[in-house]
Amino acid sequence: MNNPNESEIQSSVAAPTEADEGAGRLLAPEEVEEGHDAISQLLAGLNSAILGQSDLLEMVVICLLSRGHLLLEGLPGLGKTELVKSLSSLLGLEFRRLQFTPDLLPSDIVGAPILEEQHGARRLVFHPGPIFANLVLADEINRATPKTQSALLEAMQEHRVTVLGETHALPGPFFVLATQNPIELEGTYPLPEAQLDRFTFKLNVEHVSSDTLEQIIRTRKNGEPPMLEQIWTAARLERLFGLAEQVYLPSAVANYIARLVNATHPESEASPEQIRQFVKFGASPRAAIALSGTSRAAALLAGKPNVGFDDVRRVAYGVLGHRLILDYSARLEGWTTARIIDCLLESIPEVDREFPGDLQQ
Amino acid sequence: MSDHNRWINRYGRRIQMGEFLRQFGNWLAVYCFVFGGAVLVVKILFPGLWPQVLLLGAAVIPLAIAAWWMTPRSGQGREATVAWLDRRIHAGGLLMALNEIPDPAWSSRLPGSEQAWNETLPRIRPVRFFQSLVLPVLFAIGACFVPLREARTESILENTVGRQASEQLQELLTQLDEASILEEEEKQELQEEIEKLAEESKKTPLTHEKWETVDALRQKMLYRLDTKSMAVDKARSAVAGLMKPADGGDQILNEQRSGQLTDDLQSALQELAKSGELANASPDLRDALEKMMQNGQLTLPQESAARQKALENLQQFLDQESQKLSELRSESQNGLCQHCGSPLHNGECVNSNCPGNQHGGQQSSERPGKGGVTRGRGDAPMSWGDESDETTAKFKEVVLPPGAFDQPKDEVYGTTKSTPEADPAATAGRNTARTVDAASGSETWTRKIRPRHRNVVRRYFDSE
Repeated sequence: MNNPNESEIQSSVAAPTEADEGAGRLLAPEEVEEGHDAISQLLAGLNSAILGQSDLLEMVVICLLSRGHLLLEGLPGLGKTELVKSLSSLLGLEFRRLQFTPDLLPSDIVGAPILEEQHGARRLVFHPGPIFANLVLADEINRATPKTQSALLEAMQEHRVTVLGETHALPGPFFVLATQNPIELEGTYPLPEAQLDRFTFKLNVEHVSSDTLEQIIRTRKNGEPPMLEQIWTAARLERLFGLAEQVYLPSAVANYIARLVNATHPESEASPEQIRQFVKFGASPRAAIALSGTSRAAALLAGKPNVGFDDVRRVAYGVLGHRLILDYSARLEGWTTARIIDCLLESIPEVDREFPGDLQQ
Repeated sequence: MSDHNRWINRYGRRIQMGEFLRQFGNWLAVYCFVFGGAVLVVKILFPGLWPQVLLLGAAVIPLAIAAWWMTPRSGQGREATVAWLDRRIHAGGLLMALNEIPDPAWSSRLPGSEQAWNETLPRIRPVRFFQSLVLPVLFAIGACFVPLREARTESILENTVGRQASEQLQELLTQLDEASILEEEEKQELQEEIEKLAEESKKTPLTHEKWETVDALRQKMLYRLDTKSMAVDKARSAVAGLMKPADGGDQILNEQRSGQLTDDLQSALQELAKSGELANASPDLRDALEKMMQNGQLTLPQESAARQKALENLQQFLDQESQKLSELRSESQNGLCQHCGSPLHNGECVNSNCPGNQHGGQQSSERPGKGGVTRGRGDAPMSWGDESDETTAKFKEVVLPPGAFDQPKDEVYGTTKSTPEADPAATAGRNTARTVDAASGSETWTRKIRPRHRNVVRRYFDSE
């Protein structure tokens, strides 16, 4: 991973230290500008590869900056795999693709110990699987058996794998970008809730407009995307991770996130009527952590040193959508998680205090 | 103090004012209901406290102070205040961040002009304050306009009913005494019983036994009045008969008739003389009566002119007495007929259908029912109240069959010149069907039991 601008960036802006984070200072305007420019650069590269999906690309970058894993759901041919491949090219990270099939075994992912003869002695030598990479594309993840899917649990949460009692750390940074097909459900294994909860975002890849389609068929020969050059280095990525984590989360916004997540539980007093009626299980604390992390990244993307209520609202759909377990009655009445989150955002006020009625804003 | 902090404080004070209006509005609404309720209670139950209760209105001032004191200070809700202001200026959370971590580099990114900040301040529009107060204030004002119940200045005497009954008896006794209807001994006896009743009524309320005593005393006096009226009527009738022979006719019959009438007149005059009623007569008449009544025998003048003049004087006197007794009777019944409740005129009921004006019950027996004190008269037309009307009534009006109203004793079998066999006391009405010991309140009923009831009564006493 070679980048000509790396030394320049490191010299101009000092990397945030633990002392800075402890002091609780706001990012300097230059730091915010640096992060915003870098993210814009990455987004420009992605937009040149994936046409007409700018919102989706922003959410992917937000997820990346919050060190989160991403689950993309969409029909075949919408560019999910291409998006991940483009991302790996731009970031210059080690990329592996795993095509999940029903006969895929956990050892095919995490690796397996192989009996080898070394120095006249036989011993089991661990051969790492394809998961030992920075960016892992788990294509059509729902086609593998739950046993194989669960092989990703430890890797996604703790960035390590354990085989025969031996733990092996995964290289950092480590991202899992999974895709799944919402149709052709025959022979698939829906992801268990524990597995879903480990994905920071679940994003739906929508159809593109006719203008975009026209642009694709006019500019792409055989649909092949343009060659992308690496624009970020690992060091710069770490630097951006640090900047995103340094984005300040005001206590009022933190309170809003906590109340939002708490209100997703149907037994909560603050939950709206629709959630009490249609939601079976609400979001976990991991959702609140993901909300705060992605909100920080969204704020950095917006060029702000702090998180605002709008940033939380923006990422709420991606973070909470796959964490709300709906009741069967919701399906009967045509309620989706997006609609439930709409009601949630509408009913939970940003400020946990009623504005005096005799004042006119 | 940085510039944005100053505006945060100003914004907080507006919020505090809004909170105060909300707090004060809620409390004031409750207070208005309490005040109105207190005014109503005082006006209805304790009217003497009416002016003083208005002093409760002064409690509005401490209420306002308490509401201001209880309103969250601007510092208490600063986080929310900053969040509101942040949204107001579209700072995207920057103001919240700067409020927690001051940073001059970012402070400059906030709006700089006074006007921009000034426009963010909320305007006070106490709409909710007044809306929440409309109903309570109307209630309080309405309560103040409720008419004040008049305070009772004099204390209520206990046992008023008993006192009034005793007073009415005493008044009737006085009237009878003034009319010289009662004998002295009888008057003393009634006076003692009335005084005893009045004394008992002061201590304890009237019981049914005392009511019976009151009723018995009253009926006893009315009976004396009736007896006297009958004596006067008897004398008037005799005098009228004695004045007729001047027209001529059957001489033998006139002599027999004259003797009978003379005897009737004599007994009536003796009855009147016994109670001293003749003392009301003019001196000339008294002298004439003394001359005519010698040795207990009435001897009318033989000379026709003198006889006629004496009878005319006597008739005039008897007419006056009869009129006086009728008026007394009317007053004793409050000017109302005891049979039908219609007004009396000269002691006679103006109602032509009154049972008291009927004779023998031949006509009254044709009317349905006889009613009662709680049911009204059976022959009265049905009255329709608010609960129904004639068209929707479940029960239709039907004429009842003739009831058993007749009392054989009231029937007039005929008119004879001899003294009636029946004692007037026995025919005076049902009141005389019992003897009353008014002083003790005990009484004895002598009403006859009808044949169809006798077996029931006999079985009852046999089972004892």
